[in-house]
Amino acid sequence: MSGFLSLFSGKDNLAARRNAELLLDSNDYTRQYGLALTHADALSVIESRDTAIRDYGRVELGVGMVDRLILSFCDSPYLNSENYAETVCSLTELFYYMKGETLDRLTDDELLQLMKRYFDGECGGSLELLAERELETVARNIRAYGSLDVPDESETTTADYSGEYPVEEDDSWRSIRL
Amino acid sequence: MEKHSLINRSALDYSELDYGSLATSLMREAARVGLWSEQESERLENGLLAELAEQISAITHGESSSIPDSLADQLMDGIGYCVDYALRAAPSPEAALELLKSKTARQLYADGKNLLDSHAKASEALLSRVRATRTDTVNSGYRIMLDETLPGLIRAWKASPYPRDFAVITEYPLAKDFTLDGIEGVHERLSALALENRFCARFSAGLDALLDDYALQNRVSAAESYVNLFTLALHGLIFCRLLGRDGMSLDRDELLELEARLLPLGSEQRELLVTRAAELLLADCAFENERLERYVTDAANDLSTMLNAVGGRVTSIAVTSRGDRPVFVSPDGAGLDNDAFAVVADELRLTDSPDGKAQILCDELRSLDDLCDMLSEGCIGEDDFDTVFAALGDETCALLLSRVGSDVPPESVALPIPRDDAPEWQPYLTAYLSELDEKRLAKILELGSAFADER
Repeated sequence: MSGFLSLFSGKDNLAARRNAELLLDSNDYTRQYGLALTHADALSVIESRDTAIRDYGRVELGVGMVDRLILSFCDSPYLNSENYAETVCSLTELFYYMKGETLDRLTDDELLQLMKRYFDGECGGSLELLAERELETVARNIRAYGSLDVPDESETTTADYSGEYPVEEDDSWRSIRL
Repeated sequence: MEKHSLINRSALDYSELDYGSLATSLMREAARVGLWSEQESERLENGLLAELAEQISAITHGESSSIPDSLADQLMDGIGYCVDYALRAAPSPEAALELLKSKTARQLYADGKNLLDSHAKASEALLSRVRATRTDTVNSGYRIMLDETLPGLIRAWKASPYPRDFAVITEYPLAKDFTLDGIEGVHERLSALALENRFCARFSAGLDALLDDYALQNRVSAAESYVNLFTLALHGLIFCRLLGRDGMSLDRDELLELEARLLPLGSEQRELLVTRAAELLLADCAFENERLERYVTDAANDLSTMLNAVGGRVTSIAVTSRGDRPVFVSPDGAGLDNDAFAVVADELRLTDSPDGKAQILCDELRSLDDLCDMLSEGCIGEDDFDTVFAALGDETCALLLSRVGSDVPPESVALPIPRDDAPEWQPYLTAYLSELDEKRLAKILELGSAFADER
């Protein structure tokens, strides 16, 4: 870490308290879904975020994307007042993990939308399925193919059972069609 | 910024300042002596964070709130480097502290960035000029620096956001030692090179010959010589003027004459002479360029220092012109050490053509003992001896002949007959000489006999 960036370590507590205050503003919107964070919950979410950021080797200034994550997920049928704070903490950690695993190819909003779609859909509110099945597949596809989905291979030509590729011949050249 | 001053009236302890990381060390030191408050630190840090946040937003197009810490580190390092650069431009650490107090972090960053950008812009323009006015030379260090290193450094600078650790290392030495790194170091070197090119353009006709002489003297090729062309030319020009003539190339006798004049002089007198010679040179050249004239004067002063360091022994620092005269080996010529001898022997073995082998022997060997040993090393093929002897010349053959031992009493004008256990080159030499016409052979025999008597 550069000399300048290290200047800002040691300010964590102050910043965490300030960010927690900002996070509490989201309660105004989430209350319509019966969800609200206490001050302790907000501090816990910010702490999860800070830990995730540190563990996954990232830097974020200000409150970051946590308020947007809350606004995206608060209408999920799988969130209730009992699991709300804990789920937000887990989703926050998963979000930063995925940013690195997808090589920063997805924007914050794209990743949030994807997480929400799988969480409410195929995963049925299971954080384990979301992390270990759906998002792992997304990360693998991005790293291997540079896209969310595996490219359609139906049009690619493969060797037949004898291992021979189709060959085209003309007068002067012999070419293999791949 | 002056790192030290004679009278330090400030409370700041300058030895605590780290000029590689000026802002942080200055804040630390100022805080220690009570000149920097917690609030001021916070204001500066918030300003730096705001700048970082803006850069993160620009890089991610506002679509990502976080970035990998390696990238953040790089960005922050660039911001810090610009702030440091702005502070270093202040005349003293106190003035730099005043800047830290009076300006926002963003202003300091912008000031440093503008200064660095001006160096980068000037470097690009200078690179074009320096390449357009390039000196026509076979020296590859010069060519690589101009065509690859300097353009590469400017490209690398533009590709990174103000990197702090940006070393500037070139393959060609300039007349002055430049120690600055970063884009400022590139600019500094290009400025010097532009001046050197302008100077060398005036003397390009004799420059390659001078470089060849230098290469021969230092047992390297002209292409691989690590030498500054401007310095070579300037030294030659000044030495010639000290002898009261134009030109820049001096042979051995002229250098000895100059040395005889310089040796009895005191340091100040030598300095005066060199300075006067440099002034005469500048007056003759009429460059009408103050910076170039200052550059030449500085280089002349360096030459004075160098001359005084060797007590006026100009032969030890000057390049001796070989001129058109062939190079002879001699019984008291400088011998090679074992390593150098082995290198030359390897080079001979790797060379296929007899002409190439002869050229290597002519270029590399000065001592007759070395030549005899080399001919006995088995590096010359049987069929190549005649070509090699022809290339070495009659005088060298006469010297070699003086080393041919014979059991047969020499007749008046006859070739000696080598002993049975003589090195293999001796019978080849006598065979080669026996094929020469009588007149030429007689002259060689006479010379050989004289050399043998001298032994």
